[in-house]
Amino acid sequence: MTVTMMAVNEELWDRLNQAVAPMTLCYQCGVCTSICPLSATGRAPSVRSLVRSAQAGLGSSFSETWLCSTCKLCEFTCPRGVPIVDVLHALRSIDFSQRRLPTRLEEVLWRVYESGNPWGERRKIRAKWTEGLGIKEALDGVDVLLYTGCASSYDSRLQGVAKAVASILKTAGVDFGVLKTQERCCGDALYQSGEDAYLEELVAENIATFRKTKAATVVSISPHCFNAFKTLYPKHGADFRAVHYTQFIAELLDSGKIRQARHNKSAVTYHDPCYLSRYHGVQEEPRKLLESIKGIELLEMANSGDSTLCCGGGGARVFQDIGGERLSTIRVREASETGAQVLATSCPYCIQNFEDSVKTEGKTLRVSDVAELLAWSMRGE
Amino acid sequence: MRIVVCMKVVPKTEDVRFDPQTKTLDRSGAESEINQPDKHAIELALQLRERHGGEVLLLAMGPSFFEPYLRLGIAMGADNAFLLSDKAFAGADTYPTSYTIASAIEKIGRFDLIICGEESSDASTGQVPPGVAEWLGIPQVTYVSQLSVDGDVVRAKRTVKGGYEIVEASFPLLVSVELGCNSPRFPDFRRKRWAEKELKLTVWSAADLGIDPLNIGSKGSHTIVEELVELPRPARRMLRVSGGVEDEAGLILQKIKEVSSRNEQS
Amino acid sequence: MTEAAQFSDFRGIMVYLEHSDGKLERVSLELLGRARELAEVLGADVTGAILGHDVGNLAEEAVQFGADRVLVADASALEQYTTEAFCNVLADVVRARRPEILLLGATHDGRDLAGRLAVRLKTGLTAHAVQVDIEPATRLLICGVPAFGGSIIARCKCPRSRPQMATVRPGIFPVPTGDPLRRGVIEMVQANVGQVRTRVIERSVTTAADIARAEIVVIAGRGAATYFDSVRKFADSIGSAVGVTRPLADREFLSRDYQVGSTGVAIAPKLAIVLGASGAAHFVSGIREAETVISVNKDPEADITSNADYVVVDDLGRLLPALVSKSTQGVRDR
Repeated sequence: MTVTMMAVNEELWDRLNQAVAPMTLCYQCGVCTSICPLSATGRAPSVRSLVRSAQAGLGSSFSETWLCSTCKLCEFTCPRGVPIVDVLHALRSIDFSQRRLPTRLEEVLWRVYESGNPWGERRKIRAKWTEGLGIKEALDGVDVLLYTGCASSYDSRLQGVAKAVASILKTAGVDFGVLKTQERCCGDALYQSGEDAYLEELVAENIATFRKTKAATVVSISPHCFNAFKTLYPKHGADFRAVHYTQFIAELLDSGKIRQARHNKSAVTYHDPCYLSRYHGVQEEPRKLLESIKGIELLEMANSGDSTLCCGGGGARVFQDIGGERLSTIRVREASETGAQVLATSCPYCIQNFEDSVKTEGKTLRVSDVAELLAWSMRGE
Repeated sequence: MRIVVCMKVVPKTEDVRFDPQTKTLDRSGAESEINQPDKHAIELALQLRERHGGEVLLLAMGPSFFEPYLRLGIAMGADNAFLLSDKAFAGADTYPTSYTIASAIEKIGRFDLIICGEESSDASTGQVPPGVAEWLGIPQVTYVSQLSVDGDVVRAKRTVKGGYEIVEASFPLLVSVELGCNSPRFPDFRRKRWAEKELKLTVWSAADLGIDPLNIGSKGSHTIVEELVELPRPARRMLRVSGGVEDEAGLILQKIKEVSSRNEQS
Repeated sequence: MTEAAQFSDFRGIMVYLEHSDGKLERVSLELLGRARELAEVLGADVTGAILGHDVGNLAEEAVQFGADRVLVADASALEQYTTEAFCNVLADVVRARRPEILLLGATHDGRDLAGRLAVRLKTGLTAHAVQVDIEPATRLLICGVPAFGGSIIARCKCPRSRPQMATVRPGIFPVPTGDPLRRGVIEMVQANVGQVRTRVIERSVTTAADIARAEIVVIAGRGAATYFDSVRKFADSIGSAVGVTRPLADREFLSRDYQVGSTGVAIAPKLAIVLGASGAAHFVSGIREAETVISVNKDPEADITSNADYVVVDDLGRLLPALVSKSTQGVRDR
């Protein structure tokens, strides 16, 4: 019998322990591995051994570290409350410092630095979607800053979502504006890539820019940006109120500022984005918005709320070409099975992934953002 | 191994505007960036240093606003940087540019390898690397996609039409690398902040290089730009095709058929 | 002494003729054709320069395509292209024959050679010209050189040195018609190869489909990346060539030989079908000469719209299956 000695890296263990001390709670039961949605895609990571390698100060498997979509289903199922996604992030940071990261993400980092967005699109046309809509420049001073985010600024499909959110806010009489010349990536792509040195500078610059708008509230279209503003930015001195647009518009609904003119007779199923539902417990508000639309029949998928099934876009996966069965395809099949005509959600990455999967599956399901459905119902005949 | 990487800072192509009235280039609204092929050059140099030890030095000819970009290269991992900055260098075509750069490399002293990007995205001549090699009297290999060093022997994979060649040479050598030949590492911003505080870049003027002012800048240029013209865009019809995928596919195939049947007729 | 008088002993146009597999490269024929036209304006001769080994047969071809005189430097050390050998020999030839103009194709080897040679000869060089003309009053070569992705042309001259050198982009000028009855002088010249410090130890070249010569080209842009297999299938079913834009060449969907644009290949097909490309300036300059352009892009605001004759605003994910099924149907029905 041979015994293989694995070298324990003291320095690595120290760094990991400093970053995520609670990882010691893990007693290697393996529930995380069994629940991970990626196990249905033919590329099943062993989440258990990822945590094990962190505990033991060993290097982790490259592909598994970077395959994770950070959906947090494992954390929610863990019987000991191990912050598994934080452990993963620590492993990614260490990988990054050793320059072990997917090539695609290296390009993404350069693009965020040079163009202010992970797609490498031109800075000058970032606010093009606002043309002709009478939207205020936030730097002129506003109560509410509507933070569009990179995906909704540049992708022609997602610009529709930004326009829908803006039109709802306008109709409700909210004093809001958009950073037309100065909006830059929130930094989530950097964080997911394990980078932190430039991220620090970007976050500080964004906080300073937001301060100039005098806005007390920052409303985000993407749950990923919302999460960055809510959990990361306060660590760097941010003191604004960070909300997702579904939360903000739910408040407007409650105070009677929203009136709807048109009925929409559709069967709709709502997909909870991971970064809204599991990360921040925002599950009621989007449903409230949908139920306020007369004619809509809301159908629930089996895996909803806390157990929502990830679309596969988080954790910087949306920037990479990852093979195998797509998580969004599995989800689209689930949505079809409810009998719904519309798959509604409130995250730009989910929309991009679902639009692609609906096409490849040849389904007649319509993919819509909650804001798009609401804005449509608010427009006069 | 002592490697000198030549780099240039260029305006972002899509930001440069041409004014057809004044017939001049308006770069004022343009952001700058490190010329993309030069990032690949820096990356190759760093990989070679990781393997074989040594030093990576950056060299650029340009005005002082190039400095933060040189520091970005230091942040990627380069050891030091030299900026050749002098009003007299202005208006240079590739002849005095390659001469100035070669003079600076001679002043830097001993080197094993010079790496350049294949061309810059503004003028796109690709002429400076071979020019520098000629001034220095060293061999050159251009359009390199991979490079390895084994003792004294350098092997460079060079792209040619339809494939590649492997070229063998020894130091000292100049190579130019192709766009996309590797993945340039993202700079270490802690190192960048350190460089901003602690690293003094070496700036040389024409006098420092001891070169004849008649051989540099516009005085030393052999080519002149008579004028700039906008290439007239071919008038495209811009006909919108609608009606759903069946109709759209139908039109595309119809056009294909038209081309094929024209061939059969002629 | 006027510049014209200063260089009165520099006469004629020399064309560096590249070759492979026993044939002159297409760009060399294109340049012979253009040189012939310019020589008429100048009232001067066209001289071809061929460097290689066992290449005597190419001289005849050069005469047929427009050379009045062909200089052949034949040596075993010239069998493979190396910068120093070719630069040393060509420099000798140029110094001996004193052409007022020297043209080379802007191929990798051409640019590698020209860049070094210009400094060797202490003369001016303009790079990958897309326009090559003579200013009749001054006899000066004036070249149009693309800058900033190709939408802006700089008209350049080299008044104070000789020869005036230029590399010319392949595919700009037409290949002239060869005339087997044309007469010319063929001369073997000495090849002093000198010191050569690089060695080609391996060469691997496949005759790639020359997309520059295809009548129909289907080009895949970033938006077509996920459907690349379908794009290929479609191209196969209609018998067209396939090209890619730079992002796809970077990701090695196809090699750079198939990359359409200012840093790749300029094509002039009868029909260019552009799928999922946004229409960046450096790409558009590669399809300028296409007779008809059809674009498919889901973004109606994309720049490609103003550079296409037919604009299809739709999703490739939906359109490609329809295209493939219709076109393969068409093949079956024939």
